Amino acid sequence: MSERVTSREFAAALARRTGKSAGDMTLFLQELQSVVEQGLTEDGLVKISGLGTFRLVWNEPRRSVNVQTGDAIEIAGHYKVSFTPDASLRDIVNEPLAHLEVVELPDDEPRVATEETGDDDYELPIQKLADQAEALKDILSDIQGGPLFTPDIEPMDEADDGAVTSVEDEVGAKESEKESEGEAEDIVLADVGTEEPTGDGVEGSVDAQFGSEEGSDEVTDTGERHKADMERVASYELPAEEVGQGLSADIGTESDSIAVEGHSEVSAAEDNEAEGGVEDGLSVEHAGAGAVYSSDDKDGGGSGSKDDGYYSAKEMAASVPISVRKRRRTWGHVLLAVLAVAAVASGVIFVYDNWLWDSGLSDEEGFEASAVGVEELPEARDMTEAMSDTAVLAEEETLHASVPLTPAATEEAAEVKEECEAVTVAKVPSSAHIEMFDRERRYCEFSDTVEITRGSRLAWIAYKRLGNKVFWPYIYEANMDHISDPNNISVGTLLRVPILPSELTDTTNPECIKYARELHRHYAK
Amino acid sequence: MNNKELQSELSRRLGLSQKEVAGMMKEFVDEYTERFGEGSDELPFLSLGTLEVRNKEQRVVVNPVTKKRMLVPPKLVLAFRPSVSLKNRIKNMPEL
Repeated sequence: MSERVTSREFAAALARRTGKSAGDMTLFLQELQSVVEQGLTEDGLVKISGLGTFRLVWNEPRRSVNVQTGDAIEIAGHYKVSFTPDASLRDIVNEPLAHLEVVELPDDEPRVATEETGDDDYELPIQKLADQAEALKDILSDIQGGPLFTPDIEPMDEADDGAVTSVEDEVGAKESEKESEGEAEDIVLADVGTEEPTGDGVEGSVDAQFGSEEGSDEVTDTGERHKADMERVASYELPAEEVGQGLSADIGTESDSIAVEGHSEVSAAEDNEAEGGVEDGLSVEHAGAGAVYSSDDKDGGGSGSKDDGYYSAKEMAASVPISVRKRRRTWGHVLLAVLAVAAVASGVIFVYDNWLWDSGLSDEEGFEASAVGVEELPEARDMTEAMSDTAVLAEEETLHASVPLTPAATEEAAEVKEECEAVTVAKVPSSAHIEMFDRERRYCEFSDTVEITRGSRLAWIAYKRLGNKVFWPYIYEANMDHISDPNNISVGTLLRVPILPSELTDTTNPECIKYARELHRHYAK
Repeated sequence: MNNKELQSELSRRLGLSQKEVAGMMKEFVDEYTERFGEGSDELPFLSLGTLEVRNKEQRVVVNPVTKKRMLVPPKLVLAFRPSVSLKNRIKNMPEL
């Protein structure tokens, strides 16, 4: 917008403004600077009313990797300056965009894509194609009045490779015919292929098209013919002028969802579909919002496909020729990827099978080992039980030999037992040598009870109640008796928030954080 | 250090009254608000760094409890970019 202002120019402007001499102003600014610096370095905080707050933020030391050599390096802890503008200045700066408001997005968009993970992303378009094949088959059988072909139509089998190649030959041979059959067919096929509910028009033209095909005796080898259609939809480069706007948007959508790599992209693609004309009212609203935002915000440019869904469908149309080509390539990629996945999977199963057999032979050894483990376990458990149940144990005086307890200790433990149902947790082996950490934790005093709702997180509760999210293991330990998996607590569960000794949950003590992290690693396997 | 402490320290150093310093500070701050209001992108802040306007893209957020999706509009925010010298001085400071 404007040219860069140097600090000298700024000082001069300020001098003009106040009517002071340039020298006075320079002196003032120098002193102001040194005072601000002093405030920052001594207090870590400087407030200038009307402007904002400068604050020093401590960044904890962390491990990183030298990008050139790949060596692990330690980044020392250091301060950074953060600036929070005052509300008045913040509003002035945001003035040009202040009219924009948060828009609630409609909830009825398909959610499948956002919940899929990993390999499923690949199967998504495949599933779609399979559905399309099914639809085409139905239409054909309607026309012919009977079942046409029995072979399976899962388009992604290895067996289909051959079919596809032969189909390609066929397409080549029938190049002239194809031309006579004309553009209408291609467009119609594309339409059916993308399965957008564009409605009656499509059905009508499909009928017409297959009518003409019947005339030329093409439909006899429907199985292959069908594939040819599919293939052509995938590979035929549709010039943008030939394609209606809505249709091109649809194709863009398709190719997007094939090229999917992350959830956000998937959801963006889904949004596109919604805008493609499924629900006119909604899409109009969206396009409106998108247009508003994009006009203000366009210089962001390639801000990523995430945002594209919110720009108008026009843009999608403009980018179609590219996406069609992209689609052609990604089609090949998807085929390759699926083959590779299948190969790897069979390999893994084979290896795993073999390994199972091998391990089956050495099973006895494994059993012995686990038996040892079992023998060792009760001892450890006795340790903790002995501490909490000493009331009983003291009476019977049948203490386990490995737990030497003085009478005083047993008395103390008994008191604890009376006061509350002590939940004791065996200490986790730690490198931190603070007595506090080595002692086992006993949870009998609770400050509060929290009900788990959808979206609750132990870490968040810990952040709210204990001051730092790394302290979540303590809450978990206090409730171990009724939750088994800290990552999966059912809704409605009541959690007790323990009162912990302050030296254990001291957010400023790096040892506490370190120990809590160790606990985190211990529990979050 | 809050605004009051800043002003009293300045007045002590410059030998001016608190009122005079407050007036100068007001002019100093107003210069920024005016210039940013006129559409400046970037202004120097003393020789400690620059105050610059950054563009935050629009984004989709999901309420984790209600699962409602919302489109948060783009906005312009003011940020401070410290100069290299200030950064280095501050970086080498030990933890307070």
